[in-house]
Amino acid sequence: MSNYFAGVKIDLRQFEPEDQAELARIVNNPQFRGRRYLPWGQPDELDLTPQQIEAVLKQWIEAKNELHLAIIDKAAGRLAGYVEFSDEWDPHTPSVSVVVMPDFQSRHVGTEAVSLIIQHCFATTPAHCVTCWVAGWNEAGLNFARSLGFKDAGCMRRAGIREGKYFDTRILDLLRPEWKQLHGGSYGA
Amino acid sequence: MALEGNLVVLREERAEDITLLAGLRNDLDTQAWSMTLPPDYTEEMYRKRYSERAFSYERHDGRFIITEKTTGKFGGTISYTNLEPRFSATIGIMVAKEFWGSGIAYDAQEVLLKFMFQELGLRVIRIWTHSGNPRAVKLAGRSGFKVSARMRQAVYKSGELFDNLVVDLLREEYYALHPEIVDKLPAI
Repeated sequence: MSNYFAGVKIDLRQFEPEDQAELARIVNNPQFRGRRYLPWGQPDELDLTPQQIEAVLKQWIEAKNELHLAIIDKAAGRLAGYVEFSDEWDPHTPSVSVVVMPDFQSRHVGTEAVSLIIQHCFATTPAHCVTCWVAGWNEAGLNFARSLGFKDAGCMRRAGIREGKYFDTRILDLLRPEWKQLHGGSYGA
Repeated sequence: MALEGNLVVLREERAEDITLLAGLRNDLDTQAWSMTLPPDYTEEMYRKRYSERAFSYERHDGRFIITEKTTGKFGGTISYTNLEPRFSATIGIMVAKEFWGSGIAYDAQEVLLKFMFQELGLRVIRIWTHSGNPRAVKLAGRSGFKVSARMRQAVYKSGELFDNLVVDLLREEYYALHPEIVDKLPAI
């Protein structure tokens, strides 16, 4: 499985131990609290310590049946976020997620990153239904997923507690034929 | 307090259950997910699973044998996993075919739900199933569970594509269906 993808505005590459400081800058950005898509067991609301960041990086680099890729903005030459792909339970139905730093948002960085990973998914794996999981309060994230062709599949009610209230996680899905139709019959991004 | 209902008693797994547990897992009708195939689980594999279960007070799962109350006979298994303490967990059930339609699955589910809400203090309980398993959807619905998500064609089993279903039951919904017990856990 390739772990390097070249796009127009961005490249995706595997994380390296040297990315630790930049990753900490992203993960500990207050805007991403509650939607950082960190490995199970890591706090999702509190800042991560350098040791925790190191553990996350190690886990991502060594993960099997998952891709956790750094998004490199070509013009800026630095880490703009990360995109993830997992078919841990069933390659028929993998999931994707993305986190993009505020200064790179609304510049199609996220669109290109997710499109590259979905293209990879349909071009090289037997995936049929790709899902994404978005906190119900994250309207921007939901609209972003819909703009890529994902359709609302419902929610996992009461996924967590935030600001003293329960919140749901919305689930969206995208089928292989739908993606193909959106891209003129090919899997090109 | 025993985990006891009208028809069943839930008890811990024992070495004597191993043959029947492997049999349930190897029956294509009693296991719901094709990702757990092939049906070649051996008693030795189950013995290992049983003996390697380490002692701990930090528990994130629970595994119970469903026994028929009047005879003590093995009727299946019911379990919970993915426990987030005081918040959520996922349950699963497998019932031996000879007990299908007997009511023990519903009774076992009710016993476990009462334990999970009353003792573990959970706020939501989930079930993962699919549209090709209408018995599971109906059973969940009898206890008040609702289908909250349907991922299209996300499950392949028995040569068919089915929708993957997230089915869940909120604490308030459970207590509303059980006016005989009072929820003394403050709401969030």
